[in-house]
Amino acid sequence: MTIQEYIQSGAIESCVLGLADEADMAELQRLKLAHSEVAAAFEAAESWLEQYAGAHAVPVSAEIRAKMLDTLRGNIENATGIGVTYKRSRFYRYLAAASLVLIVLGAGMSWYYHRKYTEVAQDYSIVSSARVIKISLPGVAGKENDLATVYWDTLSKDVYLRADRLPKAPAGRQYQLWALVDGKPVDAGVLEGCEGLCRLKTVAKAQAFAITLEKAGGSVTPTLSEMCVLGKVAS
Amino acid sequence: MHLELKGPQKYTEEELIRLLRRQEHAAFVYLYDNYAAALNGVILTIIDDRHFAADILQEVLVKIWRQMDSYDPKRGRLFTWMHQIARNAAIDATRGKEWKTRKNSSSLSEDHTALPDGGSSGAGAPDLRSSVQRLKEDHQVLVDMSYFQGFTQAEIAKMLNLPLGTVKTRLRAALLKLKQLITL
Repeated sequence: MTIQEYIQSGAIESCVLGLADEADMAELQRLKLAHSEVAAAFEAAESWLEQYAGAHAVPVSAEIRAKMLDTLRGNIENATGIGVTYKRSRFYRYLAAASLVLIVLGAGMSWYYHRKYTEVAQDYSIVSSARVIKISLPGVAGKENDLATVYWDTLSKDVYLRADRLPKAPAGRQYQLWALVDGKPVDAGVLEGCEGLCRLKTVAKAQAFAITLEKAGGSVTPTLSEMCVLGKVAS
Repeated sequence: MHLELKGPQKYTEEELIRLLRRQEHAAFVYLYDNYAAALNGVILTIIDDRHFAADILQEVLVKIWRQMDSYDPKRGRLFTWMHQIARNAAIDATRGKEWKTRKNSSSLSEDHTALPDGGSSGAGAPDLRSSVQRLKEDHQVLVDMSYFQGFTQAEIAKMLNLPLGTVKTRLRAALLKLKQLITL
């Protein structure tokens, strides 16, 4: 790849937007130092991002501004030690209390990250397992922007759904997944406040999957006029 | 302590960074007044709830202040770094319990009734999502998974069962196309 091709590949943009990995970043740093055109293109991309964000800024209310600056002031003063005039013994008491807070915080954080890690790890083991088939459900006519993906475990028959792009369901309504079995829709569960992969009902057999917007709690039969996505299982 | 920062001023990026590192309160007021709205816009492209976004913005500003020492100007501009912190914080928040609860119980929030579908947020709205929707399908998916959902390229490659190189090439092409759409 020539330098010009590199500049026109979008690699720089992926770094500026924070979507690149360490290898991409290292490559960019190296090329920036070696080629002034790359450095210039990088600067241009950064300016573009800043200008775009500036043009799409959403002002924050004066009330929130006051509150935030107050919080920040509190943070700054705590850290710079303004107003700390305690006697030594008291200082150590505070130090002990602070250590305790840190220990508790540390334990909490490791628990949180462990949970988060296992959640994510579980998600990936599902989507990457060889016995799991992936069925893409694109939007139907008029809902072309909608998209969902079903991951169907061919062994356990578990069904997982990723709502890639479904608008928020209106109040009092929920998305419901249907398995189409020999031409008949079978309820496969409603989407209930889950992020990433949602586990729904197990489905033993299906030729296609579809999602409709139903009343909260789901329906017995799908409202076909409210269908948003549909995808066939590759046979 | 605030001698250097009297009156309305304009700082160069270097000056601002230096003052932020010295933890000058007035430097934060300046940072806030010049960047908070832009960062708020970034957060709102991911979290379409103004009240929740305000909480995240606060968290982001505290993070910027706390992590000022880890910011390396050689790797990029201050805003690029702050954008990354804001985007990461917003994505983390969408994975949290509070967002799920809010999403489920948001029917009465006046914000949501005023919000069109697709993450737009009213006046001066971030129309990044609608620009993304003008991309072709395979480009949309990659931008959505990486920029809005925060998956790494390696994770996307695994999920879509594509070689990492292909994901990178496609994502890069998608970003270029998106940049053209936005700039036009």
